[in-house]
Amino acid sequence: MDHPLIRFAPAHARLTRRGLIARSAAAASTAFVAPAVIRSAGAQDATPAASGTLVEWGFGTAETNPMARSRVEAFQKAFPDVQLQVVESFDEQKLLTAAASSTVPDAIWLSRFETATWAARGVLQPLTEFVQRDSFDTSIFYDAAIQESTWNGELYGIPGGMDVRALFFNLDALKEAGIDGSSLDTSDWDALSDMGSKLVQKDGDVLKRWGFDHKVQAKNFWLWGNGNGGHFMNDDATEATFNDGKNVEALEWAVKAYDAQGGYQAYQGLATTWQGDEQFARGQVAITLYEQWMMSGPIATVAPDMNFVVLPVREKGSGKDGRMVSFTGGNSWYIPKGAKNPDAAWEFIKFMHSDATWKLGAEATKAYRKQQGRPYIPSLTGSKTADQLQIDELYEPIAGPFDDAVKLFPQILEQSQNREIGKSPVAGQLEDIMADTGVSPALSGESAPQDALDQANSDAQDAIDSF
Amino acid sequence: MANIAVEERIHAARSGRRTRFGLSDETRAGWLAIAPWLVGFAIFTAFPFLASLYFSFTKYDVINPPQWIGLDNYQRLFTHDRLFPLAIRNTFIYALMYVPLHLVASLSVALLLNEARHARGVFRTAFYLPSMTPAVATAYLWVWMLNPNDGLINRTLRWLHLPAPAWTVDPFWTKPTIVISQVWMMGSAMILFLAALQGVPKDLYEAATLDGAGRWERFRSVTLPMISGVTFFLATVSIIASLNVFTQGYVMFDKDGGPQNSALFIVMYLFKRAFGSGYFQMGYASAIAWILFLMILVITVIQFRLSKRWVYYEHEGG
Amino acid sequence: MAATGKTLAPASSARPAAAPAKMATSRPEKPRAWLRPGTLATYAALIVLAVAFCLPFVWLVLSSLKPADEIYAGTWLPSRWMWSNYADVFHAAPVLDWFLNTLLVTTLAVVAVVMSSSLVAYGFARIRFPGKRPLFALVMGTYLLPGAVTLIPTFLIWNKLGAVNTFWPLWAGNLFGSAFYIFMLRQFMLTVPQDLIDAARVDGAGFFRIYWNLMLPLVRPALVAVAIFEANAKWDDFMTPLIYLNNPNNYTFALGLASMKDSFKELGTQWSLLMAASVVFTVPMMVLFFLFQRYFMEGVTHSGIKG
Repeated sequence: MDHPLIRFAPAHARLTRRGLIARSAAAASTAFVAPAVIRSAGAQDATPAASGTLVEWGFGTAETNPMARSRVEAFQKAFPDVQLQVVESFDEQKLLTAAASSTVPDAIWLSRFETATWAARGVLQPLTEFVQRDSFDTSIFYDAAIQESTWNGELYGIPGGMDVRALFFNLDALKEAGIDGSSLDTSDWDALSDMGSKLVQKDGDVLKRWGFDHKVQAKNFWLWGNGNGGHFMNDDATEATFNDGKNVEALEWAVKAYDAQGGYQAYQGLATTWQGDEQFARGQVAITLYEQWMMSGPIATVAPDMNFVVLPVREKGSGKDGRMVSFTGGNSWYIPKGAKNPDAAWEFIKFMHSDATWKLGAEATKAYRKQQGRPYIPSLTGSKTADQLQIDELYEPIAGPFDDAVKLFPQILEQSQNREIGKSPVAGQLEDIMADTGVSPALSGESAPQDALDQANSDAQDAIDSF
Repeated sequence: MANIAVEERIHAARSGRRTRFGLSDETRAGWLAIAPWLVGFAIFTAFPFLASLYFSFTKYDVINPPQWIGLDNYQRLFTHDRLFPLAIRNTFIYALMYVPLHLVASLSVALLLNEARHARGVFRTAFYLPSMTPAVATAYLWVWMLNPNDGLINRTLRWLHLPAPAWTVDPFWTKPTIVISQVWMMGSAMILFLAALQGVPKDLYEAATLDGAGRWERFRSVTLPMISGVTFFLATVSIIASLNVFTQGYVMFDKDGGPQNSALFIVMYLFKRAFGSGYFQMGYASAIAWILFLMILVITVIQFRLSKRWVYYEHEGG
Repeated sequence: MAATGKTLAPASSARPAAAPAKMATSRPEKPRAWLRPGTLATYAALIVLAVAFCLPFVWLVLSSLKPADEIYAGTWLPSRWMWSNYADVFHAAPVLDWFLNTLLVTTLAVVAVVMSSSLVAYGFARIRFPGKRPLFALVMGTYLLPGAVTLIPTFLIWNKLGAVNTFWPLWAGNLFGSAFYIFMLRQFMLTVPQDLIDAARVDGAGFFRIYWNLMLPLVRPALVAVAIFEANAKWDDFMTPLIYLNNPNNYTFALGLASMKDSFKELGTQWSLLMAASVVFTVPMMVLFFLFQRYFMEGVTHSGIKG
């Protein structure tokens, strides 16, 4: 799907400072003329020329992020009349202050989990008109990603990335402990926690390696609850079902799994010594749930020769081919209400999502990794076609574990779900409530899982009702 | 004769001329001089003070206009909210841990330093220097020093075969972690105590010794009363500071409140309610702020009242 | 100029003899010429404590020079002295920007607060006008006000002024004086003998001329102390930048350092780099202290003694 404007993009000029200034001078002089031209042409012309200043938040142009940088540069080349201002990182507080002071950017790169949070408060504008006007094909995106970018029936965001969680097994560690790593059944959760107990290593009194980390405390409980058949919220986000019996069971299992390995506090003590997500790569945990980028990041850097395997969590008791369970997250592009240059923002968003642009980014990433002496691993883009493109055209086999995992991730994505609480405008509160009142007290033994989830549920319902 | 003339001139100079509007030069000058403070007070203190009271009766997310909801926020804070009472408890426990320890530690070191004749400057520097460390750097340093598995403190404790608490992950020890990092910065309190100690007239000690008082007696009936002014000042200031604790909790425990929210303090909770994702409850946060203010007010008034009983003022007061 | 000799002690340090009548008012001190075992114990205790207090610094610096994987090794000395960590820190995050931003904000804040607080203090100290007493009590009252109460509306005010994500909210409040410094400077100004002022008035000097030409030079040591305290406070300040600054390139050091743990994921939580950044952050304050040690000590003393 080739973006029409790329064919006409001038083949000159790198993104130099002087180039930008020159261009912005040109843009400034045409800025007064161009908007008028755009507005009148907008209705009929499918691709109006974007111009003016485009303020974009969240996308890095750092050298260490070639995927983003190369695509942003390509955009600048394709749209020389647009003066791009990039603000690389921000947090929700900044968006709040911007919304309150009407200094919102034009395009914003936000976690999809927060779609309802911002849309319900009137901070974002729906993209439906843009999509219809340009006949933008949204079917290329994974269902989960599009759904998570939707609120109240309207599409607000275009997915630009995806993450997915799976179980990473350190096969060498398993072998040492006498566990057969070739026939692992991830639907047998009890077996998983048994393995965990066998894999714990200590140095005297001090824990050195944790066995099995389900990461329930790191906001991953949604996965395990769903995996047991539980639900956390009803469809229209009006009712919390945190204390669904299936969820309670899942939490009980999680608590037992940690207790069998030494208890939550011991885990936490060890976890404070983990630097930069490297714990699996450095052998400080033998089996862990983790996002896919742990593979392209820490493992590829620190332990590329590691003997590991990635397997999806499967629904409890569903057997080796049972339903894959994962939840995904990731970022999408949004346009805030009151953005000064929504047209340019929309062009930017469309440009970012074309396969050609993704290919550019992937090639740049591959070159960058090669330069660093690291293998290239495809990114999950949120777009099915772009993901496949990377595997087919760019990926070079590295080693068994990596190759298998690379093919596995898109498969999991097809079946993965979103966090149900994302549908609610108080999603952030609900996440905190689950962590503070539900999971934490249960893990530390302060409350029984049933009581903890009951309390969490009533707090959650309260938060929903008082929005 | 000449003196009287000078006296008159001085008197005339002091009282100043009166302008047409009856305001003396001096009065006008006075108001002008304090004008900066007055303006700032009006805009950045008085107005926000009242505005936050108003907000505390509303539901307000900054993006959309405030909606009046009466006492709803306060009601929820005291009946529905599970974290607010915890935050209050945490803050008070922290204050109770920190303030006495801070006072005792700084006074003890000051007493020691008071006895030392040599190298006083060097010691003074050693004790004062930590208080120059910026708060965020201190937080990182101590989170690292008190790391349960690998921190210096625990390694030393284990080497000495002493119990090594899980400082930053055990809900029981998170507040002591912060307290330790703060007491480390007691330099300025120590200096104050030292100056106060040095200002105690030696004659009083000698008189007490003559009366047969031992070291402890001398300390109790001479030293303590004579430094009580400083003690009161430090106590007041540190109580207020500890009730307002924010940066340490926020930075040391990743904004999260720590294990089981044991390090969730009132101001941190306020901040979360105001600026946290999915929260944006400015009205609710304002209610929390007002409750904090009233608590501090009450405590300060009580302190001032009590001070009349135990603080010895040597002068009539500024 | 009897009031300001070598020390900064106000001349009117009143210490009335409230002790029992049989006490003589002045007796020479007994010199302690001989070492007592008690004194030895005192010095021993002091040395142990001083070492304990300085140890964290040593640990901080040593940790900052360790390679990333040695940080947990529990050794004191790094196996390789990674001076490069300091260079890396400047690459990994906009540390230089943070440094300069903080320097700018601190300088502006200090100048503003010294000027405004001294003027207001002068008004309260040396000018008579109706309402002075209750107003001063009000000034003192605001010192006790928790910042949290005015936090949100103040934010909204700055928001309306379009000053969010700028440095204005971080320092402009100092243009209006600060209760603590007003109090402290007033104390100093009260000690200036009235005769000096009278002489100036007789010569025809107006109130502000007296402030500028007479008062300020006389209380200069106190002004320096105020400047240093505020410099230290603003350098440290975390909460205000946290609320108002959006763009990491605009952060002050305190905020940037705190964000290093989360934002700069490429490094992960590399403690050695965090420690290095912390050292860079702390060093200017150490320098400030060593240059102005005397002023710190005297300033702290006089803020509390008269309180």
